[in-house]
Amino acid sequence: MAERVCVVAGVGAWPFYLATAAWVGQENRRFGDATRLGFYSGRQVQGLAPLIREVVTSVPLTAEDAATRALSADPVERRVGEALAAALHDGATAPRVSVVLLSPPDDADTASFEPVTHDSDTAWTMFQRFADLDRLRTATSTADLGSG
Amino acid sequence: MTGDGREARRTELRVWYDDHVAELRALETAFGTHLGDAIRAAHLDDARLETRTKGAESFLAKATKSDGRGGFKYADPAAQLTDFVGARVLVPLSADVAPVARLVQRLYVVEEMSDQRADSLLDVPGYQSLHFLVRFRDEDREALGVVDRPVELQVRSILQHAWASLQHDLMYKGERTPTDSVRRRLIALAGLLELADHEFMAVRLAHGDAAGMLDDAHAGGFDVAAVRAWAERLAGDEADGEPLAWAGALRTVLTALGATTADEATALLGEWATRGSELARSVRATRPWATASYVADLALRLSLGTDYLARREVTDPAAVDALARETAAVRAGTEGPA
Repeated sequence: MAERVCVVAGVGAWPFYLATAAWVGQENRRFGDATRLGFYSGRQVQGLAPLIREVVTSVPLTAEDAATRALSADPVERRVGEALAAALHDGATAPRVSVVLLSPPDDADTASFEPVTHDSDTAWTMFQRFADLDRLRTATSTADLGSG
Repeated sequence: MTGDGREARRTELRVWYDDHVAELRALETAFGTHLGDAIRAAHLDDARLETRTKGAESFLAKATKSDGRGGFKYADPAAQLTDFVGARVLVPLSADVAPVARLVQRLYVVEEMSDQRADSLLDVPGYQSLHFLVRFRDEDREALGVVDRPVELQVRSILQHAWASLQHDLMYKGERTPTDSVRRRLIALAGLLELADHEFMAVRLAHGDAAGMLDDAHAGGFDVAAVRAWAERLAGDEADGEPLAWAGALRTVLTALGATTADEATALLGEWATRGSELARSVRATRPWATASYVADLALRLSLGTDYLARREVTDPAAVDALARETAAVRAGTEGPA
């Protein structure tokens, strides 16, 4: 069965992933049957699809939570706390958020492919959209990805 | 539901209440003594505990509430209501809530815990309180000889309590519904009191006291303010810039590692005691959010290695692997001895 990638939109999500190997966003965000995240920004699907390693569906976005978790001895908790701290540093504001821990950009688990460009005046997605990993690997434009 | 139906239910429930009020009061007394003793033993001397057993009229009014569809809201109020016995712990400032909450979590079976502030709009001032629904542990209940019923417990600061009491009287006990203007002024007052809480905290810190004044973990004076200063010195940061939340978390780590003074904490750092600034620069190149406490914790991980986890009673191989990978990467990114 083809691996599914949930491609999330957002200008900040891509550099945030590159810096933290994580995605922080709307509380209780669902990613369907996707095992990987992709990133759509700047009229292209960026060329990395990291593996989803942990999903924390709802966590307070506060300095207290960031600090307590980031200094935890548990490696998953620590990474969640680091992602919260990075999000707060970037100016994120929400009572609670989802945190998704991803394979890092240089990790063997992260799939890489040529960025897939989107040639249209309207955004390919403004929220999230699904694609098969195999199609992302061969596509030259979003038109090759089908309806998802 | 008819008026006769309500009266019949009141009569029936009144009998039930009269039969059970003695055991409810016994539970209140036992809980008050038990928690009160624990608060004193933990030296949380500024915490004030109040308890109450729900009165007959209050119970009957709640138990005969309509469901709006011709029936009663509670099918079996004697079993469904959880507030027969209530308790409230008042602490001086909002930062003092956490030590009491930790104590409660250690002592009782916590069936529910809700931070009323976190559940509401965080960007609008208003009601703030930590609510618990707790029961005695089986062994304590048997030793005390009390019934197995939950106790509702609120933990909040004096200022939070003042606002909540005033707001409750205006919103729910008056004959008139408050106007939008009155509601707006209440919200403004909540903001004012929150600012006052912060200012009291600043005054306390300026006076050299700890943010967690009531916390009993550090009798030696290595409190949040002292831990913050220690971490800032280590990282080479300017004084008083470190968020207290981070210093508080670091203090918890240091306690687990066995350091209750600045000297003990420094001794744990080994060679990293003099390399904090270098470490901070290196870490912040990729993690610009890294606080002094984060850097200090990282230095402790580098210095202690697997002993860092052992002292924190973590033996999970995944945690050991993660620590080894992280410290190797950090060492590779810093100059000096490997």
